[in-house]
Amino acid sequence: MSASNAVAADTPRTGTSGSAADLTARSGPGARDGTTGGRSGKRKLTGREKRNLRVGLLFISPWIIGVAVFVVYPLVYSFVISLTQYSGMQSPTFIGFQNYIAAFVDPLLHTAVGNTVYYMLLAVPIGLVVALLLALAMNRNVREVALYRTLLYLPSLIPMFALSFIFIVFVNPQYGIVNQFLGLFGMPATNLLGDPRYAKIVMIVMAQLGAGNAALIYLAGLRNIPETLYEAARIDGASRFRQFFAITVPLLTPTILFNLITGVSGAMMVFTEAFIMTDGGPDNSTLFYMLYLWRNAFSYGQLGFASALAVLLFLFGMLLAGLIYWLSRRFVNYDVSAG
Amino acid sequence: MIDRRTLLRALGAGASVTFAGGSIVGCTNRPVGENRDPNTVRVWGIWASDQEKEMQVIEAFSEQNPDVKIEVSQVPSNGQGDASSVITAVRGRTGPDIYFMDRFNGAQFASLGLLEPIDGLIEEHEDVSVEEFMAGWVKFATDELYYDGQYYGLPMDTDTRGMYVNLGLADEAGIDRSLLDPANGPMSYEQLWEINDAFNVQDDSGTYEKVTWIPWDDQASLLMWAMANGVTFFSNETCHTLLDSPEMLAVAEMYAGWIERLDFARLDAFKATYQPPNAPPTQTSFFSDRQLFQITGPWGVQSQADYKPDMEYTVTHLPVPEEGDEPFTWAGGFALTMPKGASMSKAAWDFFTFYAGYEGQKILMPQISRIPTNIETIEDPKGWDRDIKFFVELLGVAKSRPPLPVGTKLWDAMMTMQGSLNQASDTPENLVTEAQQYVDPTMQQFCPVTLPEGFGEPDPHFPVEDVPGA
Repeated sequence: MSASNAVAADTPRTGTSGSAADLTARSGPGARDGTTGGRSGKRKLTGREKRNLRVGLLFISPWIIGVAVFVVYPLVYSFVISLTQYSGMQSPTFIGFQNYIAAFVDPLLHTAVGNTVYYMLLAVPIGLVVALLLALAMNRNVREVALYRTLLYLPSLIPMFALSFIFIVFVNPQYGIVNQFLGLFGMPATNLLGDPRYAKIVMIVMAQLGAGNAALIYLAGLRNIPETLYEAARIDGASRFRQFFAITVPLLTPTILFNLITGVSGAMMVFTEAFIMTDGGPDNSTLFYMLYLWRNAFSYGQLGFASALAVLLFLFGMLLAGLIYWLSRRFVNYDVSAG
Repeated sequence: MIDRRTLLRALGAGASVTFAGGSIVGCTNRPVGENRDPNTVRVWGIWASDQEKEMQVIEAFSEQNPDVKIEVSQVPSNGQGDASSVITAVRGRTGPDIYFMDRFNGAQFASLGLLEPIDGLIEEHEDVSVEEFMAGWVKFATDELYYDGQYYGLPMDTDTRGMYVNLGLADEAGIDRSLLDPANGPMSYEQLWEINDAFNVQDDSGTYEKVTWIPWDDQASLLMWAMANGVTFFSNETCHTLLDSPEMLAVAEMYAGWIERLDFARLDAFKATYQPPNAPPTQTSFFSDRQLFQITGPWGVQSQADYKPDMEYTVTHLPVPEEGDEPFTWAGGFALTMPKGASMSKAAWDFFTFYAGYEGQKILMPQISRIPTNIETIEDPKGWDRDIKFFVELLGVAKSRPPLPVGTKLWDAMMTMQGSLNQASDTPENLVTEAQQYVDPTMQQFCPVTLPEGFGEPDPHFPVEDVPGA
């Protein structure tokens, strides 16, 4: 039996629910009287608990206010505005769900959705792999590891707008390093950003330079894996390859899930590079959802329609996150973190 | 399972938090309109490179009006219809009293309620009627600021287009110089193609080394060729856009043919090589002696002097469909407007009319190689740089974009169509239909709308007969 199998056999696969239930049993409202809440389990808070609650709420009040002002209010306002014809200046005119109907029949929106999904399906998985490779490199037990970590993380510090300008130079048909490399194989000079077949690919490749952030999170996950598991695996004669897929990957799945969610969220809102490098072109091949939303809001003054697009994006994002969480029960392993 | 009471409490808490959030967000009492200091005029001025020149206008005004304080911020309009900065500022009550913006957005911004009409100020402070007052500026320029029976600003500059010719390359190719003389009228598309086929240079792999022209380059575009071929984009009678008209389809088909003949991918690679996006102004395919013709505006004269003074060049008419056709050009430019929340004070109006009027334009225009729009300034020999004389002469045949509340969307639709035709990703028939479907439903939200009376007709101040070669 491999080490990972041994670990998996000792604990239930649904680690989250198990842990939550344990916590509830230890400290939940029904802990003392043997119930788990509900009307029958109600009891009054003691003075100390009330004070703790007040202090706790006070401590998190900046966050609550922040969420109220910058998340809840815009969300509710956005939904209300999405039911109107509104330019941002005049009074909104209620038009029901017309903006949503218009969105569903808008051919350019279909293009924007297609481009965004294409970007997401390629950029996110590639990003997960690249970040993991970076994290593994950062985790090597060598003397100069701090230097390597810095070097690998550095590209993540470059703002996307600056990176966009740099990439424009990289892909220049004559001077660009990319075309010079392709030229070694006899390929003619091509304007990669001017060709709908390649423009999105350029942006997907460029996104990988920001993998350092995800790599740092992977690194934390990697360092959380007990060395004893690898020692046991080595004693059992497991190869490095086997150790990676039987220990590292399963125990990194919570981190992978986190990076997956943030990656999908980021990909759904890709904007800057398309705005700077191509302005949605050529032939709308880089017209991403957010760029189209922005264009409707601030170029056409159709804030009602743009709000409808924002609400649809929010709903799709929630749906996708829910789906990923639901699927994650099949592949995420919380054994070590629940530990 | 959550019970009903808990749910109601949660909803109540959520509503409170949202209300609190909304109160915080909406809480501002900065002065707007007549509550602002009437003697302080806040201006969102022109692009940073011309800041010093703009200051000369402000200094001249301040000498005459020492009691008025002018505060300038450099927040230029980017020309792409991006109103995010002014929308957010106006919403936050920090908008300017005077906003320098790309004029082609005038009707659109007015229709959104972002601009204040100036008719009331003209009636209050000028001794003439609104029409008479506005007749002091070039008609197509004031047309661009007209919406729903009112004017929303004063035009600043304008900028007709011409075709710059690298005479060294022209001689090399053996082109008869008389063909390039504007006094002999414009060359036809056929003549342009003859030159093209003789001049273009490609290496063994087919990569362009020298080209004659690029139909979408710089100030050339599908929109320009459509205007050159007499396409009208809007019907006053039906209040519909006309992007799928037979005339527009014919232009789209003609353009598609040009692209096929030139091979877009190779020409695009050529352009990206010698003039990549965001390249410095010195790095253009025209300046590097690789492009024979370049279609651009009067500012090109200054660029030639600054960045390529040794090039022998001339400027001639844009090519026209048939030999003997009347010359054609199109013009745009900028305007001064007053956004919602502006003070609309006497001091603001005085500065407004000074800046966009004779005195302000006379100071600014000669320095930025642009054409004034104020008739008195145009008629003054010192009102503009004499090196751009040809561009000023072209005013008699200049066309402008229709001032519609969907101006930006129409522009985007044309650019989308151009991009698709460049890539040959769809047929011209489908593309004109899609463009119409994209723009017209939004247009319908604003109907009934009509273009200004006499839109598209020659300005009486600039007879066609005065245009060289007409």
